[in-house]
Amino acid sequence: MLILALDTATAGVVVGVVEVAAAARVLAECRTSGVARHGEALAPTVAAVLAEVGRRPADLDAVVVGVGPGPFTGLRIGMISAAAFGDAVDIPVYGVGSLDAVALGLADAGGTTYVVTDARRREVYWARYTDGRRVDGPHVGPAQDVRDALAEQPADRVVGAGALLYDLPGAVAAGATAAGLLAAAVPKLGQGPPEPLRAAYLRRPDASEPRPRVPAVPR
Amino acid sequence: MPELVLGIETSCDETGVGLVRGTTLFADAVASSVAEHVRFGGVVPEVAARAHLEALVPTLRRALGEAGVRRSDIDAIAVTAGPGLAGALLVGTSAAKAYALALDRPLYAVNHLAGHVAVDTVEHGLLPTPLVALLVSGGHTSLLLVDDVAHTIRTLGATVDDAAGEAFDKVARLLGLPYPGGPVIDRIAADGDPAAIAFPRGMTGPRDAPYDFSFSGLKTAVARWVEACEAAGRPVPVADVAASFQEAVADVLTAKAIRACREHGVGDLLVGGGVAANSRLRTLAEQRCAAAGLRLRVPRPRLCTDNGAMIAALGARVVAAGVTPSALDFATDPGLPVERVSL
Ligand SMILES: [Zn+2]
Repeated sequence: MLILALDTATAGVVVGVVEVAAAARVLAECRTSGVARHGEALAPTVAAVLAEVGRRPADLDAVVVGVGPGPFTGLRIGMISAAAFGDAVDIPVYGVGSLDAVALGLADAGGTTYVVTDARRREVYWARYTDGRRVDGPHVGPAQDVRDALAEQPADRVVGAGALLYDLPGAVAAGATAAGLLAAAVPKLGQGPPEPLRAAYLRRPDASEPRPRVPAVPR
Repeated sequence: MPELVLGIETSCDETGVGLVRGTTLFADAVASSVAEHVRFGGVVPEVAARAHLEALVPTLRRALGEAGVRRSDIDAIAVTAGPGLAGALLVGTSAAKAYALALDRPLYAVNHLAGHVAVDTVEHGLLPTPLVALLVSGGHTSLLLVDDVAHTIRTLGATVDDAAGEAFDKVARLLGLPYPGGPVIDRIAADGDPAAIAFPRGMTGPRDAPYDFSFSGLKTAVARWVEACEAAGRPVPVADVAASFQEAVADVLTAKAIRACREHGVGDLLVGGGVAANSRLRTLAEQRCAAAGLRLRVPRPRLCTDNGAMIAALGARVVAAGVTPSALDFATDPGLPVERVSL
């Protein structure tokens, strides 16, 4: 089984091609960091990663994509690209949590792990994992929420750009990986048609309803 | 046989997917998020972008079903690269890039405004050249000189403040009428007297730019008039206000469009965009074109509002003109000038 894995829930893009036989093997992967222009970078990166392994879109069996949480505009680029790609070659598209893909991509996910990414507006997206299983979150909120949680449930590791940005204790860099995306999808693969993709926005759109004006038309 | 072009449009609140071969329309599927914007009194960009993500693939499937074609029958893909809402444009262009890559088809990043012009090819055939185009909607108010819709378009003028459609929305709100304002004002104005109130005609003085528009002063004038009426304890004659406001908009739009045709020696005028569905604008354009000896083209209302067919129709022109396809890394441009028909 050949799988295309994508995630655009952080400042970078993650694209990988994974072969799943008895065990999963990442054939090629490209990860960018920094402030990527996802809309410009993603499609050429997918083309390059496929070219690197000498496979064509029609050779793929499934697409796995991170559904967030993450900054909305970037997140949607990965999700719509995965949805369109899957539709074009008629293969299933599986959505997985973007923070899960970080936790499950770690070389060692034993014990308690916090994944903390940048949610902008002085907030973070975060979730807590026990032995690679999400037990709390995903949430969006100030970094202080994570500090409070850490005080109650100490961590074996705290990872992600949000953890570094707000200088959380013991923070180390880590991001979603193709292997992590695949690991998050494994329970879903081959379990019938995938659920429709739903973005984990965690925030409502910014919009306020106008103040009602006294209508000129008598009602 | 000309190429079958898939067009994808997501610049505002309509998710549109169209299929056009040459000048023949095969499908025009649209999903609108307008209902989700009603309580906000205008398009909320984040709400629109979320709706595009949900609607795009289902809308494309509907278009394929309408046309009775398979994905592999698509020869080329065209997508709106701008102008429009940044987050909304990114959903459509990302989808188009993925389809182009997965299906191994050429991709054309095109201009939304040029699409409003090109869509008329599927209704009235190839466009005469040159042509003056008046595009009026909630997002744009432009007067264009079109030498070749696939290549060469020049802006003669545009609104300096509100778009014409925006003015309809704001005036509707003043009158306690629902959003979007265009259709409801058109309906209510039918019972009013367009000459009841002499609202100002913006930017029509001798020293004003001859092809630019301004609707902000008109909107304020309507607000003042309504407030004065209410302050005096008189009931607001809603139908007369709507009719007089609509008359002011239609008068300025058509007068400037006719003048542009005359001063550029152009014999054909096209009116497009959502406000082109307005009955008074259509009637006045017909009367004034007939009087000036001009030929008028107005696509049917369904094709005037934002849709995928307009982008497919423009794509078909761009492909036929032999334009080089866009690279997969092209960037969207929320302020894309109409002079850039394709990227
Ligand atoms: Zn438009």
